[in-house]
Amino acid sequence: MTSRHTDNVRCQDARDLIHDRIDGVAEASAIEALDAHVDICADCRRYADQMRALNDAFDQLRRESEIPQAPAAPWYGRLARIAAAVLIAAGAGWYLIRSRPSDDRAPVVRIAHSPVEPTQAVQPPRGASPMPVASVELTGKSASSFVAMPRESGHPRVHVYILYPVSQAAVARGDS
Amino acid sequence: MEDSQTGPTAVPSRRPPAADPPVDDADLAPPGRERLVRLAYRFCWDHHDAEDLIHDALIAAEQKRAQLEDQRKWAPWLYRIVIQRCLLHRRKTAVRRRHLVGIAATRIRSGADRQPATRIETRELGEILKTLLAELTERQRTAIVLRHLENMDYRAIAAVMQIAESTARVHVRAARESLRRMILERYPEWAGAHDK
Repeated sequence: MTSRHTDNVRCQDARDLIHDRIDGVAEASAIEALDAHVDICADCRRYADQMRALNDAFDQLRRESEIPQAPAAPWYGRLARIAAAVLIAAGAGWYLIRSRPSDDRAPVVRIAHSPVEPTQAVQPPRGASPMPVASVELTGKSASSFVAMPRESGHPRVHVYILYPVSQAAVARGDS
Repeated sequence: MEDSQTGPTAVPSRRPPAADPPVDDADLAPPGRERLVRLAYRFCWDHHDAEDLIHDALIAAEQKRAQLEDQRKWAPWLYRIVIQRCLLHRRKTAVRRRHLVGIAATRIRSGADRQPATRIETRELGEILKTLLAELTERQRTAIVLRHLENMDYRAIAAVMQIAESTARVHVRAARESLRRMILERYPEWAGAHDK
């Protein structure tokens, strides 16, 4: 645009200055001349107003497009979260302890001596012949709290033992 | 064209754009994840898409970081990766976007959200800008988003876009001009909205 007004400012220069002003790089004297020009030039005044409106809209858009920060949680909110975490951890720990196999609860039973060799072919004894009995030993922390009592299995390779707590072993022995 | 620089009220000579000093990429602070998400959002206007874009961009950037010869250029390089992915995302979703833009334009035109006060006019204009930004050239769009929404100075824009500062100014001004023209074409009433 080459139109010129009585102030000798070309409209194209004025529009460049409008952009400079938006960018904050226009010098004070240039702004003064620009203001004088837009007072007498309706086209440039409209252009300046439209550019200012665009700039305002961008400012508004920038503010609106800031990603909102999550508000800081109040102290009681943090406390509640910590309490919940502790409760969950305690519950999970209790469940694991309860469900974990523990050698405190039952001893390990191991055959100490078997009257029958593993490869030996055997037949169940006939008549009143006694069934050969394997001896077992208990290990683990609770081994001393239990007694392993043999039961008739009906086959020399099958050994059946029932674990009784020591306190009930006498009763069990009497029953057998 | 006449020379009009001699009158008593002549516009002080606008300094001709001197040769730009080289932009030191190290001037640009490495952006945090949040800032990058915000940048991506300002390209795609969808928080979920922005999060996804940044997630992928950061992985890609870290994987390729060793290829970067000058680690001081990490910040502008990271910006470029994000912007490239944003522009690519825009191309992929162009069809869907056109549909949404149509809906938004209809809503704005119908005046359904119109409320009294000048501030609403500015907000409406912001919504219009969101849709029109997508129609700028990629360079203009990148430049004006960095300038007006990310509030970067031209030096930083030049570093990110790997162009001269003067070129960055040209892109931003061209983008403003394009936006003004598009608004006037589609919302002719805007032309007289500022007449006093």
